[in-house]
Amino acid sequence: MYKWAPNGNPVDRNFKFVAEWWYREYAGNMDFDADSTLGVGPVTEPFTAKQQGWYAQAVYQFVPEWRVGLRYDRLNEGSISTGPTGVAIGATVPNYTPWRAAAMMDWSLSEFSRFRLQVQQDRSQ
Amino acid sequence: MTANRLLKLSRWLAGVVATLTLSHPAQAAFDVFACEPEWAALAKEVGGDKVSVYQATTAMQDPHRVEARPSLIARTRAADLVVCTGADLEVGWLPLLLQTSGNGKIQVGQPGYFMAADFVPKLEVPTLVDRSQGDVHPYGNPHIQLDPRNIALVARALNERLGQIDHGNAVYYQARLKDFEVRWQKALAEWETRAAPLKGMRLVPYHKDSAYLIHWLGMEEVMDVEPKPGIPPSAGYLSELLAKLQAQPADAITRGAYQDPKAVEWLSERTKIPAVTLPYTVGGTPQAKDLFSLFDDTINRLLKPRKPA
Repeated sequence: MYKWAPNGNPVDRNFKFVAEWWYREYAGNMDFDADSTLGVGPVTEPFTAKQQGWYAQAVYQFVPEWRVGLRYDRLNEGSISTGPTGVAIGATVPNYTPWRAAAMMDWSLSEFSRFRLQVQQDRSQ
Repeated sequence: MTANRLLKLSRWLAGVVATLTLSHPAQAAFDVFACEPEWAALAKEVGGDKVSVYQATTAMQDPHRVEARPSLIARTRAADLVVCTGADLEVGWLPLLLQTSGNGKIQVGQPGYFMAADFVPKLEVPTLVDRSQGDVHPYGNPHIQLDPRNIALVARALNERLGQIDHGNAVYYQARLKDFEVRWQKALAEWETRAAPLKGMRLVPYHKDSAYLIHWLGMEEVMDVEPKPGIPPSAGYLSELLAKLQAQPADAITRGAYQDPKAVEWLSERTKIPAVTLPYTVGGTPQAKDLFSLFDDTINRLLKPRKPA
């Protein structure tokens, strides 16, 4: 997180930037029961999945009580590796990177209330 | 390694260790964490060179609205004594620092927790407090540093506390207090003489923080620029204020160095009432370098307000 304010005094104007990145890895076994549709019997296959995502957000207060902000989230496709049964049932990575972007402006009438207008494009499906 | 060489090596190591410990004698510097510049200045006066003072905020920062950050946490972790105003002035950030410091010495109720406002009589203690009054401080007006008599009371209490925690240097602290008191009483008499013409002066401070200064010098707080404490004046409210000031003029519109100049300048231009910037604390103006010059500069600026063109 990065914070800035003129002379270190955030009352009038201030800026905050936050970003996070995460990485997840699964490793284990996938057990299948007998499935007549696919024509497979009970089987166990190794399964690993890797995925990472991140977001970055910047908010700037330009006068007391008013702020504007931008945020972008993204999930990378990642990878899945498994045996033939897994592939057959569709346990693969879709060819798509979900993302979301938002812009907002808000007004804090007091420290107890805030009105926000946010416009967001969500492409996570 | 042969036994002989092992013996030589261990002797050499012992020599190195001995030299290191001799050249860095175990001197536990007494660490003071001062929330605001005025207490940092006072801690230095009363503690002298036996204390190492860290000043958490500058004169250009609003003490109500400080963002707690990792470097402040690191400093509270190492502190032996925390010196702040109290009366909820730092309620927005100090409790968080104390909690994350993991330092048992400085928690509430411990000797290492020193709140200056506990040692002075407070003004404007409200009988009823709720959100509609703005950011009212429930224990009274916490901006206590602008009355030099309060500084004297806090200095005495701080000396006692230092002597209590750091017994070894109690005699030294006592000597420093005596020296400070002599100089302070002399300066106080001079200020009161020089500030005599300010009696009855009608001020419009930006925020409700000049109560102690006004009380000491017998001035008058006509109204504030903020509609309620902590709420910035809107354009509509500034017009209202303009009308009020034209009906009921004041002698000066004042603001602390860290406060927004725009509203004060706007009012001053239209009412022709002088706008005065006061240091509010040590370091607020280039002239206010320590506690003595803080009051010198404050009085000077009030005695010679510059009329807007």
